[in-house]
Amino acid sequence: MNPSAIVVQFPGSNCEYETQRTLQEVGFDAKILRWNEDPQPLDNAHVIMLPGGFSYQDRVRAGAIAAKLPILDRIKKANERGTLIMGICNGCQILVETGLVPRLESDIECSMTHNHILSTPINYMCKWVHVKIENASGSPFTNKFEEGAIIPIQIAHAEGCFEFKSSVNHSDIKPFTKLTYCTSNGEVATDFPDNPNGSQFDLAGITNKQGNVLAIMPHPERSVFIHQVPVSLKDHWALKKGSVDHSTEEGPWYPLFRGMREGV
Amino acid sequence: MSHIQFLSRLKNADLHAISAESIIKNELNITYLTRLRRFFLWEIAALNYTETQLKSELITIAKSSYFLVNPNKEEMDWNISNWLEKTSHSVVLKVENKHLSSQDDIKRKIQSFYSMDLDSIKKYTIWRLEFNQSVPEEKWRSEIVHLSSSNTGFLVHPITEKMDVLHA
Repeated sequence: MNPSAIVVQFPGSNCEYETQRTLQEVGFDAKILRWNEDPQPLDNAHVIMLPGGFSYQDRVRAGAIAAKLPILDRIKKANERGTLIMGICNGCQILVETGLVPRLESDIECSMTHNHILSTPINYMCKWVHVKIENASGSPFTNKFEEGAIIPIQIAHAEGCFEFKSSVNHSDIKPFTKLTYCTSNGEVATDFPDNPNGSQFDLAGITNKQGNVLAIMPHPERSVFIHQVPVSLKDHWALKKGSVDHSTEEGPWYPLFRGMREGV
Repeated sequence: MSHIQFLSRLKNADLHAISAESIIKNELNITYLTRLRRFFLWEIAALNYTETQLKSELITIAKSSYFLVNPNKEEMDWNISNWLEKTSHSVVLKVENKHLSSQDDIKRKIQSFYSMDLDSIKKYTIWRLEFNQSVPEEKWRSEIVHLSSSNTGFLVHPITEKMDVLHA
């Protein structure tokens, strides 16, 4: 029997089907659960995914309304049991609003603020960037990647800038598994366009201390298969795309989902 | 230097306020909130205009562009006390987002399209909370307004926003 994965659909989610498809591809029995259905399936799920989209039209703040729904209480209980929980894009914003990540000492240590370049706010952006994986072995989500792996990924958001409360230093999040924006050569992204949204510490994603919750703003489900990678990237993935002819050939983010499958 | 203030608000239902009110009442189980409304307060400063001139220019800009408001969906009100009036059990909050309150982009556009030199444009979110009883400030702050944990209020994010109580 395949392990079960639940993709939670909020009003305004729009990435739930491709997320489900990806989970099925790596061997999960993946189902979509509406936010207002009986949440009981969450209690037995091996993996819970909060997909991308615009839950409640980003009213008040992205993720702010969804974070107060009763289904999030069940997800918090699942976290206490060590269930793998991943939020992508809007799912990341919801996890940060609930305080499930990074959870250094208290609930609300971080906010997902508007993208900005040199303190000028900018609106929604959709583009391909590169991220580096740090402390890869610290989480089942990343332990199939090599430490420091540089991976292309798509971002699509308006409020994707991690901003921590003033007492949090870079050293505080050092032990956590992180995805940080970088150049295509892996150099630290100091500014736009490599760090596309002004994110503090160049963060694109971060886990909790235990590594079982991952909040990630870019969309790994959009580059699981090689056919999803644009040739315009001009990197070895784009070259590989030209040399294979299979629509399900593994792409740059397949190891993340495989790690989840093997981690449950 | 002239300073001028106006409010903008949606002509039709404000879904942000409706969703926030629904969550506060139904998920946070706050029974003393009767109504939640949202407006935007604009504060504009200009060096070379009288208040009358400034108001006249801004009305022209609002009618002929989308820079300040979308006239199809939003209306401006210059008599801000109409909306911020104190009633027996109401609270009015002025929220400043540290990234979004300064509207330098709009200032540049107005300068470019209307050759109008403005010193600053600031935009604040106004939340008006109406209660059915007298509620201690500490209580509504923690239960409705300040995000401090997943089970508390959420109207103001402590990391990116700061709040002034206009009246309580």
